[in-house]
Amino acid sequence: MKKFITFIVSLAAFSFAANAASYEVNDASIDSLFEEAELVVEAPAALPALDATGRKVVTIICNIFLGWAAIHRVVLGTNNLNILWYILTVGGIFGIIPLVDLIMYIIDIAQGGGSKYMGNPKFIMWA
Amino acid sequence: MTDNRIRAALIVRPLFFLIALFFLSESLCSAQRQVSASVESKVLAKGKKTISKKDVFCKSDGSLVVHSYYDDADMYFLVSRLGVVKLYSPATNEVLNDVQGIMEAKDELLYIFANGMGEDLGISQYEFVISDSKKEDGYLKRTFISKISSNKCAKVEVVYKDYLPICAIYYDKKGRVLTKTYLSNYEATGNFIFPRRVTEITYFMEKGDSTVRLDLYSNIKVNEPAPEFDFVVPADAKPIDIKEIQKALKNSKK
Repeated sequence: MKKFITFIVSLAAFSFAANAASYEVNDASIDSLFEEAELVVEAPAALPALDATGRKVVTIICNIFLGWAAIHRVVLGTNNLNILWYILTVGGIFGIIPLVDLIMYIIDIAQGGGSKYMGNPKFIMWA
Repeated sequence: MTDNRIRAALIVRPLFFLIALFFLSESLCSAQRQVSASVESKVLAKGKKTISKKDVFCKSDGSLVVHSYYDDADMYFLVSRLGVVKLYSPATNEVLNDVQGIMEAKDELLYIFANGMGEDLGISQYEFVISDSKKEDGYLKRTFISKISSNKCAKVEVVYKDYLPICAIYYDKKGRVLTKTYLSNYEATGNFIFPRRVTEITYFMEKGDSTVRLDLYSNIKVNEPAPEFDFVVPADAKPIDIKEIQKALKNSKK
């Protein structure tokens, strides 16, 4: 909790410094943010509860590199309209949403086995 | 001058010049690069971070090979010139075949810059057109508008410093900032300049939260051979059925 609050405060401070009128970012601030954050997993070596065939690995790898095609959502199960939206938005708003999908899915695997987002019909599955 | 000399001066010599110019241009155009790089990607969300690594190989024919490697999850992504994707796992000798129309080499930032499309970060490939260009506080700012009305990203502003793109801001239809991408640590490699550091901050209005992604490029090589450029999926690789994966995941829930 303490680390989470620290992260939020740091990110807020960073966001204030890098507002819409600022076109350059302080690399040291970014590096500091990452230094302070907890490493969830150096994907996917430390993932717990992988099944024997490595299917969850396939899902995660699909998201890392093919997230803009919503392949990871196909594997998890979602409706076809979401896949269409991913493609129309050039990979879920230029690949942004798949990145967050990945984080949320990894956290879910670490905490609950990775079934929370299966069959989720929402475009943003973690919203 | 005799007639033959006149003919040579007026017709033959210029003709030879044009033919030579044509082939010279062709040889220059066909001397496309094959470029490779190592990428470390860090993503930060909710106080937690993940780190992934990959090697990217952009081939001269417009195809792409991505090799992700870490412990037992060694994976290859092969993207053809026409955007047909294969995903191969050496550990299990399994392949996900023929995913079409979802990814091409031109989606990769390294390919974009190596092939002279870095000026607008490849945005024009996604049906964005320039609508404005102005100087602001020493920067040059260009605005691009999406021609696709259904696109959730309606506008992109690209900011230049010393004629290099250093920042791209993506807006939704309501003018809210979706994401900001910062490009820095430009270095010359071969005949092109490329940002070694790409920072992406994504804002989620509904949640009031944001994520940070940092891509660090290194070991960039131009026209240097590597076995990954010639990688092919083994003939005996077992095809993966996505429906089977869904079924397996559902069964693992029980």
